[in-house]
Parts: sequence; structure tokens; C-alpha cells
Amino acid sequence: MAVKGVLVTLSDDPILAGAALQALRLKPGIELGELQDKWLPLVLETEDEGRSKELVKWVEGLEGVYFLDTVFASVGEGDPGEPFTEQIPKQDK
Amino acid sequence: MKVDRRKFLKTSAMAAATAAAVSKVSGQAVKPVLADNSPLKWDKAPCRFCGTGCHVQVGVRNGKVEAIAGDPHADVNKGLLCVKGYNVGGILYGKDRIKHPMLRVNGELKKISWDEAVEVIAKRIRKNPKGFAYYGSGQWTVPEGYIAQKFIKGGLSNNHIDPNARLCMASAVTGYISTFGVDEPPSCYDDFDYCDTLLIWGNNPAEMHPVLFSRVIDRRSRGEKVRIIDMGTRRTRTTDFADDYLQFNPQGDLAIVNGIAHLLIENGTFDAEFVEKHCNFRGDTQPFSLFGKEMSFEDYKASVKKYTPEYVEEISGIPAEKIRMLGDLFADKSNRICSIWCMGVNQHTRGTALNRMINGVHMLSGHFGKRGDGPQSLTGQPAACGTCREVGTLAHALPGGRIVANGDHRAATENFWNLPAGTINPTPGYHTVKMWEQFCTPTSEGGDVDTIWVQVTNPGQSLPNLKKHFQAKKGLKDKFLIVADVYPTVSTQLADLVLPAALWVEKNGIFGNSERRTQQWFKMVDPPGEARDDCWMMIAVARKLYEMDETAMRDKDGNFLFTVKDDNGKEVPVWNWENYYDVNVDRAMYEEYRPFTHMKKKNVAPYDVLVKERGMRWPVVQKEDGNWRETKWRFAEFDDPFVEKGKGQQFYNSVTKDDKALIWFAPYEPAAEEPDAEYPFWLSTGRVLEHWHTGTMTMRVPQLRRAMPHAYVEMSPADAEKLGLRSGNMVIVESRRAKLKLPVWIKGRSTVADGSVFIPFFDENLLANDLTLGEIDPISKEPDYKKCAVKVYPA
Repeated sequence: MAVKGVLVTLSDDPILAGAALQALRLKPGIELGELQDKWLPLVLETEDEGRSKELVKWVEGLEGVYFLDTVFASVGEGDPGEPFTEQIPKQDK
Repeated sequence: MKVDRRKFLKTSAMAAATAAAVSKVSGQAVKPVLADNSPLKWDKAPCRFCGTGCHVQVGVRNGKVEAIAGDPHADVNKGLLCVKGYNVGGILYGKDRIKHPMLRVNGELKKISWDEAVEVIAKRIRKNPKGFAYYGSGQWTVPEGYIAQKFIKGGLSNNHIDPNARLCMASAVTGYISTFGVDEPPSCYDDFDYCDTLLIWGNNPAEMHPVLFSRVIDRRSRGEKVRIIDMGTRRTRTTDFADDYLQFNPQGDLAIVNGIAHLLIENGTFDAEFVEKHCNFRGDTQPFSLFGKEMSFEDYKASVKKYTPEYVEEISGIPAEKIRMLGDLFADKSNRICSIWCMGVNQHTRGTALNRMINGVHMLSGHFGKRGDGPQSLTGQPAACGTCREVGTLAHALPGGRIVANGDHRAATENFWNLPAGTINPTPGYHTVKMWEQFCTPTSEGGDVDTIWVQVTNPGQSLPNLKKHFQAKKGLKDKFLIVADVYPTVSTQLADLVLPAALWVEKNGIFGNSERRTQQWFKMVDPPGEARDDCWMMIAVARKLYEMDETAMRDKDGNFLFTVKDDNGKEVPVWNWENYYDVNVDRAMYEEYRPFTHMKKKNVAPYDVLVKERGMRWPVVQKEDGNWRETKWRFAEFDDPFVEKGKGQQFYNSVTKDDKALIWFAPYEPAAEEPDAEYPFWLSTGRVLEHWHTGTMTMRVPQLRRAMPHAYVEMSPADAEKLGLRSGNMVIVESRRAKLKLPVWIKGRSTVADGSVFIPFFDENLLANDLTLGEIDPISKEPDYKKCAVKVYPA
């Protein structure tokens, strides 16, 4: 299990921000906190760190999300023996 | 129980995120309201990674770190963390932690006891004390560095001690000393909150110092206008946020800074009053020297005259109108400019010159000594400043800004340490590159360093031109390498003795970050197996030497050099591990060191004050009410308590003893190795967001390793097309020193210029530093990792 506390800065565009809020409400594994102006606290809960990372990327990718800061993270067990099969990282720009 | 853990983690996560949101709105630090009966015990610590110095809250349960949260009370990060920071707890729990001392016997590492390990080291040192060297890093805590320094310079009259910081910020040190007469930045991170323009010199803060960079991005999100100008040799994530991107040819930075100076003088837009009141001019001598030779303003003016925008364009590749734009920027007094730089400027064969000249152009234009308006170098390690620079764990230095070559400084240090006069050797020891050259040279051929004790660093991966400076040790039977570390590394592969070290919150510690902030933390969990504190290892060996020899490791009264007493004044045998934590050794060593900091007015805060704070920026002075105050901006009357009333600006450590700083000139010079027909590409090396330095810790954090599992070579689309390459194709990158096979990445994290390639150095299986050059800056002795020539061809 992986738990992250993140702070999302929503877009100044109210339509984009509203759409992002709606998408976040519907997404499993995300708990929304109380919106403070344009800053929204979220808790992301996933099965493992890999899925947590994917979920963070999904949140960051929403058009109405301007910025994402992580402020809390649970610490998992290290597993250096696990094979890492990734090839060259995918282009992310 | 599992449900409970889930619940409290979620509650804590929401509390931290909500506190951060409320802090954003109110502009005030807000403490998270954590669940009642939380089973986690929280304590503060600076992050273990870079030189930014973010504070984290560490949640511990049942002797294990279970959660990490940003610290909302920390000025540096205001509750936020980067991807490395929020994964910092994971570095403790890689499954291959080194847990026992191991001695190499017949080629194999065999488990031995600590008593045996301590004896082996003591015997090596006793056999040839002048051939012994310490190699540490900017990850040494302040007490660790202080003990190493006193051990070798006071205990052995030997100056062969240097940190890996020589490889990353030594040019900033020599730049500051030769400009202001004292090391470390005059500015601080608050400049990020006040500046109108952030001018970035060959640096990628969006990935390397992301929390600092987010301070500026955060201002923009509030509607403030902050102009970001990114000057570099490749487009990075920082460029994505920049208003202007100025891509220059490698080494062209020397011409750019002279071009700005030329325009300020030619257009009469320099700050004549600031220059007249506060500055003298200097140029280089041949051979190069730290303090150079005097120069008049007219000489300086004549020297920069040829750096017209057109000439600078010819050298740097930046269009002349952009050079004029920079000149206009510095000419505008109302525009507050914060210049930042890091490895691009420091890892440079003329790194000292460039540091001096960036400081100089700020003074020439009067963009200095005001909030948001000044130059500031950043560091890459958590105590590069606190330990290497302040404690002075460099081959030429003594604590508190003193140097071994100065008789008064030696005498003062001997007095502090109660040593017989003449104990400290006046000749500087070997700097990093020279130390490893001597170690890798057979004794019969003049290699006079035969034993090196490495702590908290991984030279087998981070030294330049590894074949010459590290791998050549292999097979040299009279050389002995001791490596204390937390995980197996390329360095332990060649070590004769491996020592298991405690890491981060497994021990007490003190760091000092890039903005002069000293930060303290307490031990929170036990290290695994027989891993022990680096401080203890050194004290134990010192004690063994003391016992073996009736003159060794003693002061002039015969007392052990590392005597630590309890509250009742009774000596505690801290060389015995079972007694080490009977007293706070960190506190004792730090308080012994603290008076050293007063000579150069670098006064650090008392230990017990630091315990209550998230770090304090020196100089720290006591107010009339008994409280202690830090200093954000040095040499400026409005904030620095050591500036005399009415002076406005006072460089009180002035080289010229007249309270003035030095503005330096140095000409453009080509790089030590440039592309040619045989090796047509520039190679630059560096870091990536997920990994810190050689990846020893971050490659053990699964989520970081998954995100960036191995090194690659970045190449421009045009060059890749010419060579018929696509992302993922395997290529050979070959320099005059070695070749490396690795995958190509096109339009990846960064976009390199045509004719250039970039390789990160975190991957121990693909050693970028097999390729790099060992050429160094003649003053700082720092190598250039950013420029050498390579060829690339399909594998």
C-alpha cells in the first residue's frame, strides 16, 4: 500500500479548474480535501508505489491542474532484488 | 493493525496536504493537525540529498521510518518536497545494506569484527602516517568533518584530506574568497521571493533544485511577474518555464559575462557610485594565483573593450541583440536580478574566473546587497557548505576560513586544539585529483599516498577519467583502500576494507546548506546490523593510535584529542561503541568547533539553539533580549550585524583590507579539449531528477529506480538522423580515454544542441566518468565534467 498527500494548484481558468475537480472526484483512489482558494489537498491511495506514480502522473496531466506538490509519503520496503525491465524512459515532453 | 496503519497514514497525509493548502492561502506556516493517538513519533531533519536544505518531518514507529512529510515550519521548503525528498525514507531500507566490517583476503571480502577493523586501520596509519589520506564529501556532517580534520591535521600533522566537494563547488569557494575575502554567498534563498528576474547560468534548478525553483513558479501562479532567463548549453525542464532561453557554445559563458561588462561600461550604465565606494579591480597573474594582481578601472575597461556583442556572438553563439538585452537588464536599476549557478559554472577549467566575474558584473551594475538583487551559487550536497567550506575539510584549509599556509591561522588552530606549536603542517595536502593520482601511482614511481579512508562518497564512480584516477589502483599491492558506506558501490568493489556506516537519521547530525543555514537533527532509528556512526569510527581509530603510541593523538598536556565529558565533567569512553551515545558527541564536537567561526564573522548558532530551529543562517548573533538572530544578507547594513552603522555596504573581510570587494577580469579561453574531426561531439555529464549523484541511495528506492533505471546518451534529432539513429538504439560513445555502450535518447528530458551529447552519471553499470577528462581549474583544482570531445557510432 502507498499513501501520498499532495497539494494541487488548480488553473486560474474556472472552466478548466472545474473540469479537473470533477475528474478528481470521480477517480478511484483519490480523496479530496477542502479547496482553499485555488489549492486543493488530495490523498492518493494505491496498491503499490508503481501505481501511486501513475496516479500522480494522471493528476499532473489534467488540463486544469497547474502544479502538483507532494507533501507526505508513506515509506515502503526496498526491493532491489526485483528485476527492472524498463527500457529507455519514454519521451515525456 | 493493517487497517490502523492505513487509516493513520491517510489521516496524516490529508492533514499535511490541508496544512500546505492553508499555508498557501494565508502565507503563514500551518502545522498539520494530526490524528489523536497517532502511533507515529514525528521529528525534524534536513533532507539527506541536495544542498537546498529542505526540512522533512520523519514519522517513526517500532524503530522504523514509516512516513515522510514536508515541514511547514521550514523557511526553505515551506512544507513542500521534491520527488527525491518524499522518497528519502526509503534510502534506509534497501535490502543490500552493508551490515558488517569486511576485509579483503585473497581477493574476497571476509567478515571481521569491529575491533579487528579498527586495528587494521590504526596499523596502516602508524606504519606511514604521511602516506595516509582522508577522502570525504559534502555529505559528511559538520561533526564528522571536524573530527576528520582534527584527526589528520592535528593528530598526524598531515594535510592530505579533501572532500568530493572539490569536484563540485571548489570554484565557487575560490571565486568568493578572491572577490569578498571570505567564502560563501552574500545572498540567500529569500531572493527567489523578491527578484524581478531570475538569471540562470548553466543550471537546471527545475530538476536539480526543484523546491527552490517552485518558489518562483509559485509566485507566478499568484499572478506576480517574474522573468526567467535560462542560459545553458542544452534545453532542460527549466527552459520550459523560461521567458528567454539563451543557448551558448560550451565555454562561451566567459565571453558572455565580459560582454555584459563591456556594455555597462560602454553605455555608461554601470553603477559608478557603488564601484567607487565598494570595489577594486583585479586580473590574473601567470601562473594563476588566488589573489591575482591589481588592475585600475581603466585597465579593466580596456580589457573588456573587445567583448562587443558581435564578438561575443562569434564566440558564444548567442545573437548580439540578446547580449544587448542582457546589458540592458543589468543597466536597469529598478529590475532586481537574482543570478544563480551551480555545476555548469563550477565544473569548468576557468570556473574560478567565471564565479568571480558573475559576482563582479552584479557589483559593477550595483545589483548587489539588496533583497532579490544579488549573485548566489547553489551547491549539490547537504553539507558542502556546512562541512567542507565552513569546517574546512579541504587540503589547504583549517576551520572557520583559516588556511594551513598562514602562520597565524596555524597558531590559532593549535591554540584551539591545545597542540604544541608547529604541529600543523604548513604545506597544503593533495587536492582530490592529485590525491587519487598519487594513490593510483605505484609507490616505487613516486605515488606517496598508500592508504585512503573514504567516507560518505563513491569516488569509483564520481572521479573524472576513472581509469587513471581510480581503476589504476587495482593490482597495486602496497596500496590500501578503506571505504565506509551504506551500500555496496563501485568503490567498495576495489576496497581492501569495507566499513558499514549509519545513514541519515540512524545517527545524530548537522548539515549546512547553500544559503549558510546550519541544520541539526537527532538519531531516530538504529542502523542495521553492525553499522556504526562515521564519527565513532574515527574516534575509535584515533583512540587505538593513542593506545599504540605514547605520543599519538594527544594534545600538549597528554590528553586524548577527542576527549568528551559528561555533564559532571567526567570523561566518557566514547571510543567504545557501547558508550558512544552516553553523551551527545555531536554536540560536544560542534561546540568545540563553534569558536573557530568567529574570526571571519561566520558565527554559527549554539547547538541548543539549533535544536529548536529548522536551521539558522550565519552569522547568528545574540540579541539584547537573549534570543538569537540569523543573517539573510551579508555585507549589507540593513541586515548584517557586523556592518558598521552608516557604511551601507561593507566587505569587512576585504582582500585589500579597505572594506572593498574585487571585480575581476579574465579573458575567454577555449576549453581544455574541444571537438575535432576524430572526436566531433561535445560531451557533457550531469544529474537527473530522480537520482542523486552516483545513485548509491536513490537506486535503492524502487520508485526512483523504476522511473529512471539506467543511463542513456541524449543526442539532437539532427545528429541522430545523420547517424541513422532512433531512440533506444545502442551506440558507442568513445572519448580518448574510454568507450561506453548505451542507448540513445532523442528529445528526452533535455534537448542538446547539434554537435553535443549528454550522459547522466548516476548509473554504476554505465560509468560516464570513464569518458571524462581530468583537466582542472588551475586555482580551485576542480575538474571540468561538462566539456570533452567524443565520437558516437552505432554499436
